[in-house]
Amino acid sequence: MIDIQHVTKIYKLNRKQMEEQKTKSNMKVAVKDVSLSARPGEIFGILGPNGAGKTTLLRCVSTLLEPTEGQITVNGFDTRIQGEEVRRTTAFLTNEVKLDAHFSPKYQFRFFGRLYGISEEQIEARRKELFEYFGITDFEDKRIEELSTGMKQKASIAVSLVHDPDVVIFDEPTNGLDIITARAVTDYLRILRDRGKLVIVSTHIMPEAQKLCDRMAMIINGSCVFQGTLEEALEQNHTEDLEDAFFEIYRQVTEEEQ
Amino acid sequence: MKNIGIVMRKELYRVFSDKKMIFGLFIMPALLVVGLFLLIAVIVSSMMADWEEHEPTVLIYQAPESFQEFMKEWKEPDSADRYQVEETLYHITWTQEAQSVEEGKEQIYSGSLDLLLEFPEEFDTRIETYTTGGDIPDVKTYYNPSEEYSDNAKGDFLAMLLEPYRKQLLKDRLGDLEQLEVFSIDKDNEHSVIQNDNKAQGKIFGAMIPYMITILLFAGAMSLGADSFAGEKERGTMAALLMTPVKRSAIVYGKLFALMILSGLSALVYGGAMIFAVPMLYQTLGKMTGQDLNFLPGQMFMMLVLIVTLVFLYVSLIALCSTFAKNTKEGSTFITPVYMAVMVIGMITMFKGEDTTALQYLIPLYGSTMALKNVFTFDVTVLGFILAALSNLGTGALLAWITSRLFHSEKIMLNA
Repeated sequence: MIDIQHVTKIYKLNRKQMEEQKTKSNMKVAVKDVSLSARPGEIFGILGPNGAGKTTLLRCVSTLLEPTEGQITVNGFDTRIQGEEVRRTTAFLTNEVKLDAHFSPKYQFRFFGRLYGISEEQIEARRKELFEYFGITDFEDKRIEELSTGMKQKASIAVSLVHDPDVVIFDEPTNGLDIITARAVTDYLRILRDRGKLVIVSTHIMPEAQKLCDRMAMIINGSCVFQGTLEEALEQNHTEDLEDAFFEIYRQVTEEEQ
Repeated sequence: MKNIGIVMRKELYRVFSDKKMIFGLFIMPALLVVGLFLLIAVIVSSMMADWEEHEPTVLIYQAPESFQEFMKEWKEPDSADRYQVEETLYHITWTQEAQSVEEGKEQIYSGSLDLLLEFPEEFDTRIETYTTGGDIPDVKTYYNPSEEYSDNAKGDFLAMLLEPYRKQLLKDRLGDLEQLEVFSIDKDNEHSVIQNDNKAQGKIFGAMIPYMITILLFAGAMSLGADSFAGEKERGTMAALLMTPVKRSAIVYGKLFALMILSGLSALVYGGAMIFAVPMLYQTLGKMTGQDLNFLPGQMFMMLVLIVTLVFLYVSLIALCSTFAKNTKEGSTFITPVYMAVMVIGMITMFKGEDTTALQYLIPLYGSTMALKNVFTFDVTVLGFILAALSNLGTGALLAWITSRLFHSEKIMLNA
């Protein structure tokens, strides 16, 4: 269970970042007063265009960042003061979190398993299950630097799930993957949901979200502009698919802002 | 503690499973040191052999009869100008023509003549008719100090021939040289030198070794430290570590201890290579001093403690610098000024006297380098040793604590 209450995240920009973003202000509001809640046994989508604040919000949930304002609890633990407990039951996978290219998937799996405090037997059992599912077993002893992008992503997913987390947060999980690998990943997310886990995915690919997500939130310019089921999104915007619904919401928001 | 061990083992495995890293860290430095010393030995010994083989050419103007007579003792039987003085064979040309002096000077300038001696007119007569208070004749020498052959020829000729010649003339004049000597010093006293041999060796090694140790320990940890902290950030693997429920301080200490082991091993390799290479250099040059390095158990213990605690301080310093960096390159840039400071402090201790106050031992970096030096010379006090070790541990722990605090900063760790 994740509960996000009025979370705002403001970045302080240094001079170089101000120049890069062509702004005179040294503050950037990445997430603005967002409140959400997601429950076990569902796939919750965070949808929005690039730069909307999806990754920042997920980084706050995963304890890598601290919200400037507001509160986030994961399974009842406050991310700000009980970070270790939150991390113990959470998996967070994003492009910025990578496996050391020097090691093999097998070594990394064991290494992270030990850091999560799992017994060697459990690590072996988890490795067998996940490596077999993702087809990693054949290259489990190869160095990660020798693997293809798809193989690397599969290895990253497997390693991030070593501790059988209750909450799985994947930021753009199928980004850069071929169609077969992408399908294997989304199928596994469904398996996790069916096992009662809470799966949160962020994506800007609306057809993927339409197929995958039970509920969703749309983030535009740091604010949460919609939260509900697919049906609610389609009904409220009088559209037949999620992409059209998203564009309708996007149009309304940008009109309001102007 | 368990997590520190897991992180440490991973860091060590990263190095030891990489052949290139093993070669770069442990094999290449050893080969470099031995190779460099071998090269120096070969170059220097061939240079010395060249000097020894050289037959100096000497031009002597207006040589008095007494000197020519004196020189007969060294003359080669079947030769007009060859004079064998111990190992050196001189080619001596005798002249009475004033013009040859000018020509000789030009030859010295161009390097074709090694030495020119100019005796004044009526040298023998002036020596014989000398009365107390009168002028003494002056023998002029001309040589070229920028030419090794000429420089050596002047030194050797004066010491081996001209000085004995002067002594002979003095003896002729006075009959008994001891009149001049008045008294002798340590003529039959074989035990004049009263010293602690260990301390004597310590003086030589004490100046050099702490400097070498500090430089080697730091250099060993430098690139590894930049890679272990800044490199992990650059590769995006640090975020994966930060996502685990492990305490940030455990990650920092795991990395620090691995760095300590690696930098210690690297220093051992350097040190071992030097221990192997230095005597080789001495032997080649025929200058082996015959001194053995004898360490007392207490000395060994103090050195060990100081080195271990110093490594801890160094790696903490390196970790702190590279944590601020976004990538390995930036990390190395941040560490370089600290490396310079360590080198300068090492140099200061090399030339500093032995008096170190208790408070000075507490100064981070300086105190422990000083203590290391004084351990060699037996000048360190127990209090000084304890203070230096505590200073290393305290400063190292403080820096490690600051680094683990930095690990909580999203700005520093994730550039957010």
